[in-house]
Order: sequence, then structure tokens, then C-alpha cells
Amino acid sequence: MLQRGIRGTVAAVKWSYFTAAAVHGYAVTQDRTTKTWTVTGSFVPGLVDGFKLRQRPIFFVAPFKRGAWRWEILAINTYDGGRFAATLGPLSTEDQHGITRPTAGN
Amino acid sequence: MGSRVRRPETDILTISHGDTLTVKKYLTAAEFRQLVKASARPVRIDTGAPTADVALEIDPTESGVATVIAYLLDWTFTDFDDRPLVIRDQPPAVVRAALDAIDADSYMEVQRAIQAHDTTMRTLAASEKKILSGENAPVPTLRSVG
Repeated sequence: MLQRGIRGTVAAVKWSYFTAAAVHGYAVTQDRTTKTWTVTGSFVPGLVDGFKLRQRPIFFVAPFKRGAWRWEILAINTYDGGRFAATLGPLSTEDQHGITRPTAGN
Repeated sequence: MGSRVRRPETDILTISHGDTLTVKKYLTAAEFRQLVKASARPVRIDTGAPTADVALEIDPTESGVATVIAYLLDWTFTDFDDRPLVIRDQPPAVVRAALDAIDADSYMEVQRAIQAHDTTMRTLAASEKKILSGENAPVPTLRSVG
């Protein structure tokens, strides 16, 4: 299975402007055949809001130097020890002003 | 009965020079508690006893900046090289540092705009409550006879 991916340390699950969960360590991969994005990672203990995590829509947001990658979370599973895995929608990129645009080839 | 949870919504406040502030429409209970906590300062009450009692009083200076930090999500402010002063998704300490770095007149303009927004939203919330209940006071619980 061919895949491309993004690995990083700091990210968040966002419900609108709220942080539903802070993430420390994640790996996003895309299956090149099905184009499906998935993410696995770890939540920061004490920075997980169970109420906000159950709201929809929620987004996985991974910042980079002058912006952030953003995917809608279609389904999420959480596991003991703060691990999680989620199926994601299409990738969009937002600049540092928070303006979001679709990313080509997503 | 209406929902007691609000969807997170934002408002854009336009201030001078075409700048805008993106603010939360309403605060949650946790955000309100944080605002109250950040607005208060401890005051020792000297009663002559060996250990003085401590009370809390509102600190007018901190109350203003706490209200700004509670509501403010983003702005269009830039630095002298026209680079954005990034506060979006930043921790309160970073937002506070940016607020401390802008000039005093700009800060006061931000504070006045956000305090006016706070007053407007509280008035709106109070009128919504009145419409829903038909009155100001909470409806008393009726006890069953016997």
C-alpha cells in the first residue's frame, strides 16, 4: 500500500475556536490509492475535553511555521493511555491569518 | 426548555484604521470563572487577630485585560515590518504579551470595543432569558400537596 505522510509533535483537535484536545506526537498518512487520510497520535494528559471532543464538526489541526494543515475528523477512536486514531476528510491549509483554502491533490 | 449550551460563534468588531478584532460571541462557564478569577486580587483584612483574613476584590486594571483575553481570538494588527502580530490559537500568556506590546491608545481602543461587546452580549442573553421564561426571576418549584 503506497502512502504519503506527515509526522509532527504539536497539534490539536479543534471544535470551532476551542481546543478539544491537545496532541503531542502524531502521524498523518494518506493512502495513495483510496486518497483516504488517517491520523494516529497521543493526547496530552489533562488537556482533553470530553464534551468538546464529542461535538461535530471537529478538526485535526497541525501547525507549521506560517500556517496549519487542517482536516475534518470523520471518525475518532480513543484508547487507554491517551492514544487516538481518526479517519480524516480532505486536507486544507490555512495561513497565519486563519484563512483556509483547499490543498491541491488532497 | 432551551439548550444551555451555545455553539461557539464569533463576531468581528471593526475599530479604527480598518482594523478588526475577532471575538467570541459568548463565554462558557469555565471562561467566565477564569475571567472572574483573573479580575480579582487578594486583600488582607486586618482584624487584629494573629492571622489576617483574606478577601478578594475586583482589580479594575486586571479586570479590563482579563475581559480582553477572555473574548479576543484574533486581530489584524501588524508589527512595524507589516508582519502579523500572531495571537490566534496562542496561549493567554502570548496574547497578554502582544497586548502589552501595542501602544496604550490602541490597547484602550481594543478594551473599549470588547467591553462594549461584552455588555451587548450580556444584555442580549438577559433578554433571551426573559423571552424564554416570560419573566425575570427563576420559576419557583411547586410542591405537591400532601
